[in-house]
Amino acid sequence: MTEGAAAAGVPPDGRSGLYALLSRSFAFPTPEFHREIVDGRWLESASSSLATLPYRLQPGAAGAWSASGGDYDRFQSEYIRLFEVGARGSAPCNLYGGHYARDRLRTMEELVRFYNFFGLRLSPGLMPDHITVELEFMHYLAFQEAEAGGSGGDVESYLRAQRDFLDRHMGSWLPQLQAALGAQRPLPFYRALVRLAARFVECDRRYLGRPDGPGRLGEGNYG
Amino acid sequence: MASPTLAALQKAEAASEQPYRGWEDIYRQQWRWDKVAWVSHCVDCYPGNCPFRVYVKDGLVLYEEPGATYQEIEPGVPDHNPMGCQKGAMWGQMLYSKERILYPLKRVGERGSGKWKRISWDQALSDVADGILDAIQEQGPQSIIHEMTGAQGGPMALAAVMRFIGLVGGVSMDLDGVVNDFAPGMYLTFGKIFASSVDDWFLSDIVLIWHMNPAYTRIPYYHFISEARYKGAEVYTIAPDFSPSAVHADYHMPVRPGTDAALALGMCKAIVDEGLFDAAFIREQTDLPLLARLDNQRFLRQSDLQPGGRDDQFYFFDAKSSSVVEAPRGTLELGNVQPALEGRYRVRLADGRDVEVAPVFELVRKRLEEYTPEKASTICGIHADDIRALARKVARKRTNILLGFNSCKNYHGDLMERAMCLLLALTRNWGRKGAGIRIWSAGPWPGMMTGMKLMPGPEGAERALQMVDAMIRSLKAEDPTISQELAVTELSTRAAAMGEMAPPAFFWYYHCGFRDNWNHTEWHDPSMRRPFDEYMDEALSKGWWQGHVRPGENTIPRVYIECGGDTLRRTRGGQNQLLKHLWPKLKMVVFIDWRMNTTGMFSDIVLPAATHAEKINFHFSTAHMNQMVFNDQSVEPAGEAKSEAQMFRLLTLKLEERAKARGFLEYLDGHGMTKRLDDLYARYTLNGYFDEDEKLVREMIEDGTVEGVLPEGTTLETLRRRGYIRFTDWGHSPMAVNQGSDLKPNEVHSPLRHHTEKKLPYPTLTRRAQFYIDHDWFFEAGEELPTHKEVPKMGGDYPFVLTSGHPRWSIHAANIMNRIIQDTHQGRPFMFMNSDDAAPRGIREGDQVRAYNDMGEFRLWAKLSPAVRPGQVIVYNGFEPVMFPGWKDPSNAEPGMVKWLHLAGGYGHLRYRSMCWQPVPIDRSVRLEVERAG
Repeated sequence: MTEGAAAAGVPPDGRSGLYALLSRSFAFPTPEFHREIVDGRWLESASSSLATLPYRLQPGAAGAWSASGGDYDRFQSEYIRLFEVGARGSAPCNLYGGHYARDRLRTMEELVRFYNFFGLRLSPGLMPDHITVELEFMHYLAFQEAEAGGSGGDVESYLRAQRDFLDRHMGSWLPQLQAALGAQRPLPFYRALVRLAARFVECDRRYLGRPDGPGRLGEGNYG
Repeated sequence: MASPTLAALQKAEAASEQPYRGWEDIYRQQWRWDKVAWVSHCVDCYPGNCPFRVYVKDGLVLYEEPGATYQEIEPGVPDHNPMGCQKGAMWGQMLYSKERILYPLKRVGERGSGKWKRISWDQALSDVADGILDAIQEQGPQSIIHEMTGAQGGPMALAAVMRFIGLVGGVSMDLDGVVNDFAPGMYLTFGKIFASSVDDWFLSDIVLIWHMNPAYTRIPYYHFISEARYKGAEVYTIAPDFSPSAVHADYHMPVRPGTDAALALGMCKAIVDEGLFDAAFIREQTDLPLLARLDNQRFLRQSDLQPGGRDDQFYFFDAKSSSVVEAPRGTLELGNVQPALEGRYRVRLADGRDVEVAPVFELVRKRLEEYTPEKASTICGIHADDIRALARKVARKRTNILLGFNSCKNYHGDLMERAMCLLLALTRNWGRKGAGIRIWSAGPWPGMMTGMKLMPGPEGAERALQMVDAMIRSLKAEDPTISQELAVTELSTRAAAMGEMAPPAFFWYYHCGFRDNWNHTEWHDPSMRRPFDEYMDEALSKGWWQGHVRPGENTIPRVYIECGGDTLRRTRGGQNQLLKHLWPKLKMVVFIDWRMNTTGMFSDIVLPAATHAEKINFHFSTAHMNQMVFNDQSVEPAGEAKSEAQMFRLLTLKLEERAKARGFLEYLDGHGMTKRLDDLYARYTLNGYFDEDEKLVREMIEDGTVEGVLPEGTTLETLRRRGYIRFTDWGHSPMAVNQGSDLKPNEVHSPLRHHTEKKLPYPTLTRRAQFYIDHDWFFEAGEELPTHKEVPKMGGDYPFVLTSGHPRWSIHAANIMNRIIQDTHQGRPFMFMNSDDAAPRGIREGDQVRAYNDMGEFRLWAKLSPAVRPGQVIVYNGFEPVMFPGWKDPSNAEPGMVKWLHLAGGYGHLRYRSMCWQPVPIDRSVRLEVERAG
């Protein structure tokens, strides 16, 4: 927590922290990540971030976050089945937002320009519309917003950017991802993860779009 | 102070100084790029060769457009611009498509189950290397099979994998045998295949679009056809259905499926009867004046007249001297000889007997009696008056048969093509601008010397060139009558048995279950008098395919490498055949591609390939364009993808390492030559010199200047600046040399001018365009001359004939999943059907239907159209099997028949060489029934 953020009474780990955790969670799972889920550390981190949101959002029952039997090979195979290759040559639940739009190139271009506007560019080997990238960008914007709020900077700029970004990108396609996933009988962890991400983004859209401004009514229950 | 956690994103330039006000601030940043580069879409979108510019931002291709920078070649002939089609214009959608493979994968469930795990490149290559070594140790290196397409990878990919296969002693299945764009009828006639440049079409007076649909398949070049009409050309489509190309033609001839030979022969008959044929041309260029014995129907040969005489020396009857004279073998010049086209003459054989002989033209006249326009009309369904009218035009005007790659996929496509060639022969319609016939044909290959050289640098190319030239001189010393073209052709024929390429027919016969299909007598023409097995046995026992039956019957295939193709989609018989018969034998299926396809789904190891703009490459060169079109690497490969060249370099290293660990370093290949594994990388890369793709490409370009196929001084930088450059010569690539014309910088390319202008001989038995094939098998079948035969009922006695072609909306299957293009059609597999056929079956527009025959079945959706001929159904190819219910596509109902006559050998030019004479799979006019699916 920065001094500025603390002074404003806005916990910096809340929204920004949850975006960062979700971004990391949608990446291809490493054995270490799988262990985090199995031994409960992932759920602890998620719960900690959820607790500091300016609105209420529940993680759901602990059992919903099961990695299912502790078998890493099966876990990563499931990730590939759902999100990368699928059983018909393409992922049934695509993690690239551009695939939910008509023209992926136009989507990617807009995202690249969004990132550039804020002085960022893609790390090598990644696509701008991958959910990990979009979530990380929201993490960045939310963090910057909190910093600006604490230091008297231009909060509105970051709020507008977050709102536009969710409206034009993640906010519109995450529900489609969730619907696609529902038809695949996924492992519980991924079902719960996508559900949490979709709910969080929806809550955040409403939070960012409140006419009385975000942060003014921190006790709202959006979850 | 805490910082945001960035991994997927990183700090770059400073953020905008202005605050963010809205998404419009983002929109205003358009049209700012990091770089612009040349690419081409190096898939086999034949002829393709469209230079595109891509616009790159943050390492991504975000925009593309045709370059439109081609120059006019021949004054007065339109240039090629703008080039490109809707597929190319949105290739970026495929670059970043959902089917894109980004990481090496290993199967963890059953083949086809879709269960994978990611593995590292090191593990993937180790597994592949171990699989290859296991196969070599168990079955020998010919158990390693590569299906030669490279269509998705481009020529650099093809070169990479074939060099590897050659070094380890595996087998590459001949591309033209696999896909069947080989025209056996053209080959029987000319001893080669060829094509004009597309701008040559502009110079035609009559354009016969025959077995072709350029409105769908030649979008960038169609304008040459429509522009020709401005100068008075007439355009005909000859097709059973009112095809999309018929919409734009002046005339449509709705020929009954499979009866094109009758139509062509009907026109020939009209021309001969009305005396419209060009006697001088057929005397000089064809075998029609050669004498045939009327006792045994064979050509009169020197071996008939003299003990120990040649079997390839033939005779005319000279009308001037009234004597039988030798037809020159080294030239088409007749000098003072005037070969008779008519009459009967007597000759005394070496055994003392007198026999009667006649010019082949007499036999052709007799054959044509069966094809008066009235008789031809009853066969093909075109009115006799229309047959005569077109014949008279063809006789008077420059006529170009735009032969599509449809004819060769017909059972009797060879007869159709031979009949078309006869029509052109009678009317002097080849070897001059705006006239002729064409089929798939490669162009110059600047990498030829690079692939052959033993040391890097121009000196290495010079030495390779000297070696090739020395071999050619040696062949000319053997036979001083051969031309440069004949020498190159002979060299490639002799080299074929020692190379890595083999015709797939034997592989299919022994290892893929097609032997059963090919022995279905009722699916063959009734003139096949004996079981297919007997023809196969005879062909093999007589040594006609000596050295080309690879892998042999007793070598079980163990490793299958698919690099840029989709064998389970494309092979006629498809999954029905291959999954049942071949796949169980394979211990490892290696799939290399940039996108997942049906074959990938059934593989064991998936290696992600870089695609256009992600690797340096060229478009496949072709005589249709004669340009070397460049594709630069403008972005890094997505994910962990690599170029095929890089993959195979790494694989050679891994194979060496694994071989050394096993202590298995040496073995014999299928030719009895020793192969070593401990220096594989050094031999693959010329001692490490070609350790980067760009270095290899740079060298290929420079070697191209050494060989003379590229302008002097051409470098990689030239191509990076211009995007393309015109070839200056054909080089030594056999298919390029077989064009048989000089490649001129300011003229369209019209093949065969060496024969018509320089009077050089053809690479046939008779050294002439040959219509009379006096081979035992051809006599037995009644096909010693072109004739018409009905299409056999392949698949069973069912009422519909299934036809196909390439669609407008995909290049093979490459773009079939492009969702924007899918919006321009049904977005799912569909079958065109005539409404009059659908109604009695209760089939309405959009209904799911079941198509079936004795071979198999498939389901898709009906699209009713009056443009489809009753009794015909059309399913354009390219739909991935995964798009069909149950993953069963039309290939499941295709028996994949081959015509037994294409096994014939021991006869002049009926010998295998790369992408030429061989049995090829048939799918057009397979029989089906169609019913509404429950």
